[in-house]
Amino acid sequence: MTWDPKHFGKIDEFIETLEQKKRNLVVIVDPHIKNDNYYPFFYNAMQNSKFIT
Amino acid sequence: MYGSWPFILAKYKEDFLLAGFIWNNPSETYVKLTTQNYYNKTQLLINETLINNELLINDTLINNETSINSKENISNETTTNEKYSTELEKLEKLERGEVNKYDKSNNLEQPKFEEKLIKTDKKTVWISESGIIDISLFADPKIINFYFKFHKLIGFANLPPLFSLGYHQSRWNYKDTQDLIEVDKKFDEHNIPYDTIWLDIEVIIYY
Repeated sequence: MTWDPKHFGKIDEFIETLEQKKRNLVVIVDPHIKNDNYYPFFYNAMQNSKFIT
Repeated sequence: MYGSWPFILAKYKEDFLLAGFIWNNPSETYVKLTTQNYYNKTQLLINETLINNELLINDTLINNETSINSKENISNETTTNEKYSTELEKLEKLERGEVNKYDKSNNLEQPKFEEKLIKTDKKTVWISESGIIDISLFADPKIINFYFKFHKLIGFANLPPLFSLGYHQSRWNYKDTQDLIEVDKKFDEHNIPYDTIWLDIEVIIYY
């Protein structure tokens, strides 16, 4: 999983505004690594045998 | 499942004795709790002695010969007694050597423990796929003290954070950060209080 910087850039600034109003931000995550060769993180990990099988 | 802390509690008479243990093993764990309703003759004898001495409590002694079931349980007695007699029959057959206990084709349930062991009606089996047996035992006559001891070990429950009780705003999904800012602003504009905003999965690429 990788944060989308294109659509959700400058999120830290938004969090600061929320903080001033004593509001919280929750981010839902699916904590897995996508099995997709077009996903650079997965591709590099595969190439360098980083996964334990 | 992984990461859970299985805990078992047995209750004897009201304010008489509570006993339990916590199984400290984070691996996949199997817990089986069975109610068996058969006794061998030694057990019946022991039970009777214990009843006379008021050491055992009604619900731990369900069998037809001592008839100590409360009236509410009578409807269940037929099935209990049937199970009891078939189990006993099987055990007797085995004792007389009429059946081979290693032959599974006769559908004979093998005795789980040494025959001389006392057979009670509640049994529990705990199996973890790895690790060591690490248990903590608790016992106390009072339930409030029992749980105090228990929580002294595992910790006391926290109150929920105040913000978690307020309104939570969530949508699948917001277009971008600008969209988020707008939504946040609109809440203030319309005087709607909210404490938490949730971002769904679209903020992640390659999920």
